[in-house]
Amino acid sequence: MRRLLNDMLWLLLPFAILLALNIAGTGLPTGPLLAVWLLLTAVMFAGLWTRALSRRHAFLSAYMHAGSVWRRRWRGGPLLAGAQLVQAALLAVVLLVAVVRLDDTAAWRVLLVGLPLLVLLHGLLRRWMVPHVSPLYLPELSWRLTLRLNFLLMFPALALAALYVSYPALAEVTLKQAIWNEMIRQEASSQALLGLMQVAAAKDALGWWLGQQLLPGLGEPLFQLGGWLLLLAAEGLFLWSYLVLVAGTLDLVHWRRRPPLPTLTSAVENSKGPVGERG
Amino acid sequence: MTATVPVKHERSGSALRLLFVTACLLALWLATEQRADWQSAWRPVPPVQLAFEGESYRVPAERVETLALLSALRFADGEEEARRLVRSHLRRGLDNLFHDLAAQLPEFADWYYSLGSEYMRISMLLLEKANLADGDYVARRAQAVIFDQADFDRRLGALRQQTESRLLRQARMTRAGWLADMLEELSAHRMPVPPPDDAETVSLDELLAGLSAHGGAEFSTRLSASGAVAAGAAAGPLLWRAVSRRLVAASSGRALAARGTGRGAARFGTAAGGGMAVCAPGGPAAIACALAAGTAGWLAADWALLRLDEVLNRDELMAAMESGLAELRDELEQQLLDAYDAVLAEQYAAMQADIERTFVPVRAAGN
Repeated sequence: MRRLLNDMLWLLLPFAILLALNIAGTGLPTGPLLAVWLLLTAVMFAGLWTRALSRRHAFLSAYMHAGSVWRRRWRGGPLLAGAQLVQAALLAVVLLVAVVRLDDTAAWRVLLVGLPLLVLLHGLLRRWMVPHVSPLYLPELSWRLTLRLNFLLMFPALALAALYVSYPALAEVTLKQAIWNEMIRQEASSQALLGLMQVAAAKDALGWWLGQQLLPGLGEPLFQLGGWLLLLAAEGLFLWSYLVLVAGTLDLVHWRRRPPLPTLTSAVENSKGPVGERG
Repeated sequence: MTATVPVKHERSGSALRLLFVTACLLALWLATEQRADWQSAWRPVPPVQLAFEGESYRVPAERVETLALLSALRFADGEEEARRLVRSHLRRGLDNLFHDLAAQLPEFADWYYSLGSEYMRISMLLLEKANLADGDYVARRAQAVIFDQADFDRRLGALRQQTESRLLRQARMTRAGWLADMLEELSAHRMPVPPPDDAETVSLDELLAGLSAHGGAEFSTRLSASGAVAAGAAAGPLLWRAVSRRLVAASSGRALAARGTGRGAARFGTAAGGGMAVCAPGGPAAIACALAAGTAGWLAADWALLRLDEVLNRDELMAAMESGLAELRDELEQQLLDAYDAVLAEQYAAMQADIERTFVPVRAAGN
């Protein structure tokens, strides 16, 4: 209970940062925004990196022979770290821009309610998985399941909230008009943020425009489907980046308590059996 | 016993934590509600959409301030230029007009010192006493000889029309300059794609239409209604009153006032003396002779006295009339300038008000 409450408290911090970003983000210059982006990237990277390492460890232990040189080469070095860093940086950009542009109060509440849900789900799943999953991979597996379950619960809620938001009527305008006018509605002091916001606005306008094309005939259902799928995909990416940040925060908080993964080289040297057996 | 104390501590600690977490969640929940209000303090001022001559422009709020300032300055300059133009044009026109009026003064003086004029004045005085004629005969003659012969009213009207058309041209030029300023300032902010129909847009076309109305027919109507129109109508009497004032104020004015009485006594003395001296031996024809001789003597005396009066006072009369004309010119110029100033002030104030009305909502939105 205490641990759950502590986790909950820790998770309020990134939410508060994101809320502050939503309130003041458009008025901030590029410098502070860059600092926030780096912070988000670092936190996300922490979660992504530990989980990637764990997955790689499991894969090598399961599929590679103990004596193979690839076990050492693929154990997770700069390449894996670089890939996770790029992923974290991109997700941080997506999250930052989406959060600054998120005007729907209902969506904010879904994000807030998602926090205790995530902590509870993680606690329950972890407890349920303890007898079944190797302690070595328990953190990674429990987080993977929690994030996916949480995503499945929050995504419909966010989509439902989005249904009640009013969108500009774009059925009668050209695509160029729709995109241009949505782009110019964006306002930010930082030119870098403004550019990103305009890209996101263009994506939204494209989705709304496609979704509102009610012309009968060629490609009509495909247009609409494509438009709404685009918007849903963007919504999903935003939610996923949020959950990665939240999971990264808890990963950082519990960094010291994670069981260290045994080094694969030592496993080779002292192999009395596959590492997977110990995990 | 010892084991229950930490458990209790732990439970109370967890309860406190739960309370704290709940409070934090509640605070953040409320913060999501207040978010929109707090955002406005941080959000940068949005650009303004302007529509002008079929094009749409998206102008940063601070540039809109500059546009408003430029517009106000352009029309303030226009007003100043219009006043300068009125002053110089009126001065030049009135100089020409009054130069021609001054050329009529010798003719008026010749008439004034003629026997016909003398007897007309006496006749009109008698008729006036008998309520058979309007007074101010000399003033009317001054109007006819000096002003009407120089075509004063028509030329003054033409001068006014010229001034007005120049002012209208000046107003058009000011508008054209403003238009060029606006297009130059806005060219960098043109929207390649027109905004949606429901977009909030400030129309500079409406402003231009308002500005054109202030410098058009409405302006001429207001000017025609002003008092400057009637300025030249009573110029003759005005001039003669000014001349009379000057002559009476001068010491020789007393001579002017006493002149009629003196001439009357002289006429009577000369006519009676001449008649008696010439026709005394004439018998029954003496009466007719006396009348003829008396009349001739009367006329001769009048002529001689008029010549004497002219020699003594003509220069003074001319000087009084010239300074009266100068005074009339100054008064007329001031009267016209006042009228034009009032109309120009009203015209350009209306233009500035239109500019202000157009840009103030934009500023309010920006603040």
